[in-house]
Amino acid sequence: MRISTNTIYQLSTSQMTALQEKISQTSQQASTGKKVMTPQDDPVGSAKLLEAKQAISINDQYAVNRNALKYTIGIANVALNGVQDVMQSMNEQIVSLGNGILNSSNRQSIAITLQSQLDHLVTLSNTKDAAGHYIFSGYKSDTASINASTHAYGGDANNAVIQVDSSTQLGLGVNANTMFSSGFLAQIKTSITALSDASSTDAQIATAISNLSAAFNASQITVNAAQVTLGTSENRLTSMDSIGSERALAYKDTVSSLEDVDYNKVLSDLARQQLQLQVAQKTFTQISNLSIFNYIK
Amino acid sequence: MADILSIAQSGLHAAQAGINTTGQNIANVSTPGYSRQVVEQQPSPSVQYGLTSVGQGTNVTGINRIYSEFLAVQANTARTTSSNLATQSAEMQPINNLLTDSSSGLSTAVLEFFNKLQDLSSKPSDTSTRQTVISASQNLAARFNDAQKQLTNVNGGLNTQIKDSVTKINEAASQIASLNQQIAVSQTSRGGSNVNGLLDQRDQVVANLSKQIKLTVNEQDGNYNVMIGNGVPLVLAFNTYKLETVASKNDPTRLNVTHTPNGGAEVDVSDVLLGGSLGGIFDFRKNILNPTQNTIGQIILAITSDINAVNKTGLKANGIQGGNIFTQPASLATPYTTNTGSGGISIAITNTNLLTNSDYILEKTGAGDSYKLTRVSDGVDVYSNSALATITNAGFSLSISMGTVSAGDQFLLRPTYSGASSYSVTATISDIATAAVGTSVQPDPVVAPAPGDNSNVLAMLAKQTSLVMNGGLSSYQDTLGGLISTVGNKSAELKATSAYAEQWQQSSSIAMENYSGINLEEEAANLLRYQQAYQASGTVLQMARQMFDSILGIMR
Repeated sequence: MRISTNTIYQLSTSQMTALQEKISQTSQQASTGKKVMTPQDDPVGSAKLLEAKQAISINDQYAVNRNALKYTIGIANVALNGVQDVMQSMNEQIVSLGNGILNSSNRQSIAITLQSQLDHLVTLSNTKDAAGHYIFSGYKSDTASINASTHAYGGDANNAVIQVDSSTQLGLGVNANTMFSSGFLAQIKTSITALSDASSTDAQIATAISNLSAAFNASQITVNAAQVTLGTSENRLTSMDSIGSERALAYKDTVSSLEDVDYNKVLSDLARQQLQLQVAQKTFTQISNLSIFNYIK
Repeated sequence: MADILSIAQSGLHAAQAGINTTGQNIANVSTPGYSRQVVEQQPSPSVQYGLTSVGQGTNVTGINRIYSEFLAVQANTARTTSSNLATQSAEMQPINNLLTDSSSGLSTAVLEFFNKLQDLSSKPSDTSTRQTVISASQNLAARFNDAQKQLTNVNGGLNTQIKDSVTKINEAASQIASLNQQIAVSQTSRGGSNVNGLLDQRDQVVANLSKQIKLTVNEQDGNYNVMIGNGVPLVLAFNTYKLETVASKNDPTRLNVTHTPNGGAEVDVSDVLLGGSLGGIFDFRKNILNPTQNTIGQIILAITSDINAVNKTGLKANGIQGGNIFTQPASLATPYTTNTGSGGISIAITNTNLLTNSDYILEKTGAGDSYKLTRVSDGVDVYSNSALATITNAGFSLSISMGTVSAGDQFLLRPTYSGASSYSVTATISDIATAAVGTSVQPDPVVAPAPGDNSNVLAMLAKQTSLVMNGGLSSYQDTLGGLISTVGNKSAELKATSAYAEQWQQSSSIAMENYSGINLEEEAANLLRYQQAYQASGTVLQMARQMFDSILGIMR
């Protein structure tokens, strides 16, 4: 076949250009460590990568949300443990009131103790988070959960939930109204008034004690229930955490398999392409030296 | 005796012509489009010489160029295809890079916005968290605006290239017409003298033209008649019918190309100028740039409309109904410059779930209130003869914003393409309505919601993973992912096909080059051959002279 001189040059240069382009691509992969550079390099991979990165971002955000809720649960737990301690001491007072051999001054001193315990319960119920929001007031986080003078619940019945998992919305689930049985704190106050009043009849005192005891027993149950609610939420969050970090690992594996290079392959490709270019260069210079004109003297 | 002298002389002539031609070939070894030339020789007719006849030497009958029209057509076709695909592939790169998230951050901006809303759901009344939501929404608007701006720049670049390409095509047209004339003149005035150089030049101009646009060449009486695209006459003998660039009749930001045929009216030929880099630019603009720009507009329109709508069904901290977080640019409705009426149309987005990434053409079909709405992407008439107010299925509603619309008037509707204006966030932290009331009616009396009420934030968050686009088929991120894989696939396909076309173009050019081009070894051998022929004819001449001398000697 007839070959024109230009063809020889053209073919050699286009071959060397193509090799140089390959080397440039391979060395870019080697230096960045990333395979997918643009959607063109891997259309399906790029879309999958976007999906995986979105999944990672949302998964991470759920972890942030869980931490926020765990923080509030932590504060609530401290408050409820305090409530349990107060309730335990209060129990001793109520038991001693039931002895029936107490005189008026004994009862008054118990009433004083009960008053300080009531105050303590109100303080614990009005626990705030670091930002100054009442945590046991439902949505009404700017209103004291328990009014210090009326002992009425100041919040609302709403439970502010947040997304803690792809399919779960969870909130504190406890407010000062559900924590204590209805009217417990007001009942303590009523009983204290009766106990500290020297003119109270025996019957009035007996009623005050039995009402107090009943409300106390009922609240013991609701406080326990509140603690169980918090504990259950905490456990759920912990298990979501471990599922979340497993998911994060899986997503990160996906991302890595899509965009990270296999260094063994890249480096051996690079070596091979360099060798090919050297051979092409050498062949080109040798061929271009061949000419009859060298022999026409 | 005189015979042998003239025979030797004709041999010397022929050898000289050979050496000259070989020299010319060697000199033009690197000239683009040069076809090698060869000397055509024929023995001179013989004369009766006693009982037999003897030849009278040799005649140089012509110096021909070695050229194959078949190979040239093949090479031009390949060149047109290759340059078409290479242009599209090159234009694809900015879009391809734009959608690589590390550079544009479209996807990241969407994720960040919703992540900040998640933070807000934990602390609905916290001012610094509200501020991060506002910042994230500003960043979201800015990233999408940036992307739109870059795509608008791509469109501007295409206009420049269209102008450039049209200039090249018009120049080629002038050159071909002028070469047609020069060739005709040389052939008649100098009795068919050597026009090889002019022919090569003309073929080279055609070859260069074939990069710009698909063409067919008909040779008639030695003239090249050139048609471009789908049958647009560019050169007929010595006449040219040139192209012009004009702003599109329905989009002043886009250049189109018009052509005025012999004795006819100027027509827009943008849709028939196929192939080559010019055809590639039109293809790219219509099939890739426009849908990409619209899809990006569609996504941000859906996000901002949805979030605005949810914010309006919530209460701000002061108990007042929420308003828009994002201000949206108006959708474009451009009247055709050919309209006879003065009317303007305005578009109101009513349902982002029903929007597509297509443009629409609205046409008034009669004197009454009857309109046709055509979806540009697939040419389907969504409405054929409908009252303007009943056109609602495409996710937007239409109204006459000014003037009167006459029968036959057309409008290009671009609901999602919003590159001309920009998104912005004028909302401040107190404008976020965190508490849901589930209706957009202001409650009376005004009551401030509880500060811990995050219910409306949860309603906004629900949008992130809901299928709220393309008729309930995709989420925001799905649509963005779909765009990325569409662009990536198209881009990869163009890269592959253009590499293949490039090889085809190379091999067809090489086939032509191998046939018509110079081989220096061959020329060197020819040089030696003609040199020896010259020397041999010289020897014949010398011998004739010796014979002549010896006869003179006898006579003496």
